[in-house]
Amino acid sequence: MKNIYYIYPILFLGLLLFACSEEDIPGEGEIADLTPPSAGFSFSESEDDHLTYLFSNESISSTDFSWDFGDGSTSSEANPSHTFPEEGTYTITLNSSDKLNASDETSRELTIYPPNYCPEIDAFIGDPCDDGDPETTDDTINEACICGGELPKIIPVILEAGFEDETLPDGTGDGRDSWRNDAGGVIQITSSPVFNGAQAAKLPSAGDRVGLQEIEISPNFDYKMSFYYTMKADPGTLTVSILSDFVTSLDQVADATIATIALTDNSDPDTYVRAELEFNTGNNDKVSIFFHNEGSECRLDDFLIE
Amino acid sequence: MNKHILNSTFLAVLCAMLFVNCSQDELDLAPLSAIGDNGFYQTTEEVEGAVIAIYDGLQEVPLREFALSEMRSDNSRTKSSEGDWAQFQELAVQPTNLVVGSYWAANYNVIFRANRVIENLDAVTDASLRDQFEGEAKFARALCHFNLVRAYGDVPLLDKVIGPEESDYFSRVDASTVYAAIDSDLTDAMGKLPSDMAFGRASKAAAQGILAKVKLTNGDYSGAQALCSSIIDGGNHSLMGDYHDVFYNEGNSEIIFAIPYIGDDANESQDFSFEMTAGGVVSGLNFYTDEFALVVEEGDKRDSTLFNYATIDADVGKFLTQSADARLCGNDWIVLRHADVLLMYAEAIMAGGASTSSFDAVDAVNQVRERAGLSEIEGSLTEDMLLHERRVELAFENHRMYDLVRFGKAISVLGDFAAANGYTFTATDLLLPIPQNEINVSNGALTQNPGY
Repeated sequence: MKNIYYIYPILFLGLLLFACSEEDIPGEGEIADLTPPSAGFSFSESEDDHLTYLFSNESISSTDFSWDFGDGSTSSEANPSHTFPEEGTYTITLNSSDKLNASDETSRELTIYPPNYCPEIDAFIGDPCDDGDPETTDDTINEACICGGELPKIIPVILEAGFEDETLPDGTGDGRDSWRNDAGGVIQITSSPVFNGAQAAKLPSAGDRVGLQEIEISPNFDYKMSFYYTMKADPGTLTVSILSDFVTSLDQVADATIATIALTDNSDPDTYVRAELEFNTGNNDKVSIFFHNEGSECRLDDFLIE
Repeated sequence: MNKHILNSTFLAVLCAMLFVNCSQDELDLAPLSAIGDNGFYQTTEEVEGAVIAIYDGLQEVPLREFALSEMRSDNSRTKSSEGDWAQFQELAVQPTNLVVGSYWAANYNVIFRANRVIENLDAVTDASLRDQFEGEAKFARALCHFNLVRAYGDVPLLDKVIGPEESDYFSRVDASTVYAAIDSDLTDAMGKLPSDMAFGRASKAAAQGILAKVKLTNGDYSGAQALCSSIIDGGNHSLMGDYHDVFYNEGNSEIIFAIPYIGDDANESQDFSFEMTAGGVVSGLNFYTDEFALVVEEGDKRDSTLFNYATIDADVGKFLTQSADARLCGNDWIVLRHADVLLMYAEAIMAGGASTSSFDAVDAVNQVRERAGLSEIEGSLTEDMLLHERRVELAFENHRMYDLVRFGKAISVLGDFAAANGYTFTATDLLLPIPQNEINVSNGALTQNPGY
């Protein structure tokens, strides 16, 4: 038991070696830094010069700032404005510190594009660009493509618009798969007469068939739908409509109708007649094309919306 | 012997008293001399009293609101450029600013009163009346949370009555969560409120209109468009023929929601009319800026209502008091009116683009311009045209700051305005500071916005 006394000199020596350094001793009444700095910032392009950016300091509990703009320049202002040498991507770093030398650092990337450049469509304002219409092979300047103008007008894709076999995007389809619905029986397919290609849609005189297809479209734009039809000599009506909903019964059609046209030209059952229906999509980013007949057998072909 | 009997009787009585002692349930704790929480809200009338108290609380909200939405923008300024008031025009608001604190308190007071109604709805026996009260309370709770989240950013979200111990509710909630709660309250209110309500009480259209603005703020343009067209097609509200009548023919058909006041009545009057209009000559607040005077087009019939030409100072001409006592004004405060809905409708159709050629959008703006005697917009409507029309049509109605933020133009417009007037503007000025007195009593739960 006596042996234990040699431990005291060792402890004492140890205390000497590991004693607190002076910085770590809290002063009288001192408390820890409860609100250390937190760095944050945002930036916006100057109205006058596309290379000049205004930086807004959003740091918390900070008194001193050190900016690195990623192009070799620095600043110690709180809210600097900086002109970059050229277009490109820069990493901006802000180091915010307080008077206790506690600090925080944050970085953000900034990409500067040439004036009038639209990154969304990788083109310059005023450039010729694709207007989305497959009919026009020469791409023309279209306002819808211009960045910073009106929102782009989607040209909707109508599947099996000509009722041809194997025209779905995956190369399958019987010409009417995209037109099936619960509001009426599936449409029939005819091979003669047709307006274009090898097939067209057929609605028998019983009036128990309905064609219905939902398409994606831009809200609040004017569109024009065109198609071709023909009717047999019996008196009857072919109704073609744009609906706001993908209806599940004929009762719902009236309430959902955005635009409609009633067609009665039965002068020649072998000659297709062009018809057009203009509509504004209103507050809908999807609409449905609807067609249905009463009294007379009808054929339809080649739907197009632009 | 007698003594013994007396003692045993006494003991027996004491024992009996022990058994028949009142339990706390049988005690009537309701104070006789004052109305307390515990005995109240037992009948429909008492709950309706709590509903009226919400509107009473709302009367506090607009009193100095002009400072944080108009003076803190390019629309108006002080005359003296001194003190707390000048902090707004100089875009240098301090956390100790009294208006910043009183606006916070006024809105949370309404939220507290609305929550009081919501927790006592069971006392209302009539189902349709219960729905109406719930709708009114949720409308007010949403409107005030909307005021707060736009002014201060992340704020505490109170969906029930809280006591001083419930510190979980003291801290700031992410703005997106606050917006989700506002959306849900207004959607509920819309379903429960009748379209036909007494003037000054929230109607279905009022809930729809505020919700439309919430949706525009959050970029749900399709939702906003549906709500605006529902109000426009609803037919309960329309533009007044004469712009002047909107403000001086109170309770008119253009007003969708207003906070009513009664002039020369110490309890029901307001004094913002004094501070921001005629009285402004003395107090020196909310004078229109030179920049604002320049944007009003030549021949605009709104000119004589926007500006008060009866004095030589740059007085605002809206909400001029007609009361005998200059500080007990009776002008109602308009929160939402039909012209605002028409312009929001166009904004919804534009859907964040820089322009639209939609007939409906152009037509909606043209209805507002036509009343002002201005030429119609032909072809497409641009974002700048729409923001300009909102600025003039809704000037001094406390929309400007939030319109600039919503359109994403606040940094460029206020940056230019500050530079031209020698003020310092940074993006952090778009949110007000959290009031310092609230931070002090929050036990560390509330944190300050960056830049303050």
